[in-house]
Amino acid sequence: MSAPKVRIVGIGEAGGAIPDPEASLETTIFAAASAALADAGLRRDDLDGIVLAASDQTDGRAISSMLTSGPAGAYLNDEINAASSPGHALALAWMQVLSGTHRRVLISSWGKASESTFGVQAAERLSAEPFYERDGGASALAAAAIQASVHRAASGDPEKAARAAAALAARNNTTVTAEAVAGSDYVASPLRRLEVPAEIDGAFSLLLERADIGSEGVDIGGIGWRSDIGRLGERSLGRLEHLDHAVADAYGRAGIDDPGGQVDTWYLHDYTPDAEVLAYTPFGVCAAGDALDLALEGSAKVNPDGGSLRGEAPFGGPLRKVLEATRAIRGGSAGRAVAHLTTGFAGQFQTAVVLEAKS
Amino acid sequence: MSDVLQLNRPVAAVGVGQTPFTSTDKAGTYVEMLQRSASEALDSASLSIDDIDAVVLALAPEALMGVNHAERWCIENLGARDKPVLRIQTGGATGLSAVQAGFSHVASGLYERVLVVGADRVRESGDAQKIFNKIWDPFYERPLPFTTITMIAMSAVRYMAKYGLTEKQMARVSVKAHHNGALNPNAHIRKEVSIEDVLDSRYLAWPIKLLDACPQSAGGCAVVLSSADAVKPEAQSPAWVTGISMAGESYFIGDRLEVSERGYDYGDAEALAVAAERAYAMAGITDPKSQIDAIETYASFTPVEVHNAEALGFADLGTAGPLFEEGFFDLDGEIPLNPSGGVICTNPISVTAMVRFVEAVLQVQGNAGAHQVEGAKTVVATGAGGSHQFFNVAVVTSEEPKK
Repeated sequence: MSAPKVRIVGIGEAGGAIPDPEASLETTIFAAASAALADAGLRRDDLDGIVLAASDQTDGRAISSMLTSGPAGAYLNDEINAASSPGHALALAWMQVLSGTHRRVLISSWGKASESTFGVQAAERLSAEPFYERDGGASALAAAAIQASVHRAASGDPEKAARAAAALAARNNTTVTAEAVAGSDYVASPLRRLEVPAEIDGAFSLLLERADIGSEGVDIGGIGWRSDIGRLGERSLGRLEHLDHAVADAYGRAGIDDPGGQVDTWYLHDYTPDAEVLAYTPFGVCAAGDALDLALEGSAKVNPDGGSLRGEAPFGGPLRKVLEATRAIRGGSAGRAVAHLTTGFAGQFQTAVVLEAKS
Repeated sequence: MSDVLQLNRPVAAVGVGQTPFTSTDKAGTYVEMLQRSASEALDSASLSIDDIDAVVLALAPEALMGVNHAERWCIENLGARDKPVLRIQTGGATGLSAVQAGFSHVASGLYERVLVVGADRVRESGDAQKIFNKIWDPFYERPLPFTTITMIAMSAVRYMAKYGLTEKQMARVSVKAHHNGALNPNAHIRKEVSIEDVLDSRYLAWPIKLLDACPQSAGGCAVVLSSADAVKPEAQSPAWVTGISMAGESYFIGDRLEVSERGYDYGDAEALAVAAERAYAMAGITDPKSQIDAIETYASFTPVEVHNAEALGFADLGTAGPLFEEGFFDLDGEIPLNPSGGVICTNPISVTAMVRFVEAVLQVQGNAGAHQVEGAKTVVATGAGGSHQFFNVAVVTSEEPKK
């Protein structure tokens, strides 16, 4: 038996840059999951399973999925929690449908920064390796700054790399200029305040279905996910081989051998401008050595939605990249779009997702 | 949706590994236990980590270990750098959920061999019950106070009121579990107990007594899952995973007090019955009593073994208590339940449900040693997690599925 094609038939999103004091975490998740079901014209009873990406750390709960699986649609139905990444939840749901064990699976992930008493970065510190790196002040932001430093130094022209980062941030956030970005306060050197996404509230849901059911939607061409090790000091932060391999897996499964000619739009995970630039070559957006020039010029094919500088929900936020890619194909602006999601410090876990117009 | 779907391709467990389980102060470090169990599983499959295409980590409540997102800093210790790695967390059900995720990797056709591995040190951050109180809603159920002990005590009281289960019948479950655990070299508690010992042990929360309850254990567990084509001839006999599913209950226990359409309430285990229904359908099990040879079920307290036996289809609702008394579920009984000693003797939470699966594999391979069930060909394994909320079920058999 050959594995069936898998299609995204519904998407839903809730939350936003301005926290709603009336919205609890549960109601935010419920709103996103319900929206995805409504988008597909389906009901909870139509589902074969639920896949969550719930981070106990981000949600401040000992077992987050106990609370959150219900609003995400799970009750007396198959459910599972891929707690390492929303990209992993998507990959797992995709494999469930490919396996033939599930016809329809609803995926949800989220992050609610406004509920974090001590701030998201304080919580992130608790996932640092406890003996060496936690005492060194490691957090997601600190790791991203170290990665940006490494990237700018390795470029051979740190000043140009800094200008490219500011230009990219200004392109994604059209309310500011590159000069304003470069002049904004440091949040973790060399990163400036206007180069780093604001932490916001958000929940995101995607409904996958076997393509042979025949619903309208966007096909998943392929997904790849790879992992680096945890210790920052032993990683090559400016050259992400595991991203190369995640992209190769996704492109290989989707039959892409000429990304420049076969992909219309990339939704890259720009948790910093440097992270976006670092992803250009692995994804085939441009040749090695051209990335800084591309960042300075700007490309309409990368993050046309403004990217993560619109604000990003902690942990689950990168799932929005897949929603945006889905919208691009639905809207006709792309025939094939690629989404990129990362979690962990400095992109430790990388996921690449190829989406295509219905075949 | 409930129709049975067609599996893309069969999946086999070809290697398993467990550390001996013990108290946390006597156990290895977290990564040592991951490595030891992974190495044992790989060795038994005649494989090395280089033969593994992807890794699934089973890591349950982070508060038990005192570090968040531990999946981020154990990859190098497994030799899994640059591999596809993901982590599963469904509370106590994590170990079997991780097996289910590994199953999906292989059944999808994307990966040939997947390592599923986890470990736990349950008392690393102090008494687990203080941590478990934090899994409940802070306004309504946490202050009751709920712990996993009081949660099951309440279920047991309901079951006793409905069906007449006695504390002596619960004690009989404990005697069976401890007898079996004494035969299992990996069990944490290896000590025979008598009915009197159990009845004389101190109450934790009526009607649960100390010897009705599980220990807090440390250890690691691992499984290698493979496609049929990738099974090495020199490996142990494959154990085929023919059915696997999970189902979850409501978060608030207060929402489970009404009698459901199926006739279950909080004294029973409805979500386990739902998960079993689906796993059995996948596996072609229509009469569990005649088609399943043994049960490895996740039951942290003796009354849970009783209602689990019913939810899994081995007794009608309310009738299992006397069957335990009669020896129906003993190692030499009609259908041995927890021949390994079960969770009453060993509870390393992140992997407890995976241990159930591993023990099922050992049984159908004929490798269970002194606690082997004679002639076991098909065994059901279950997991449970959250507020007695998440339940999963796997069916393992020695017979290769027809293509």
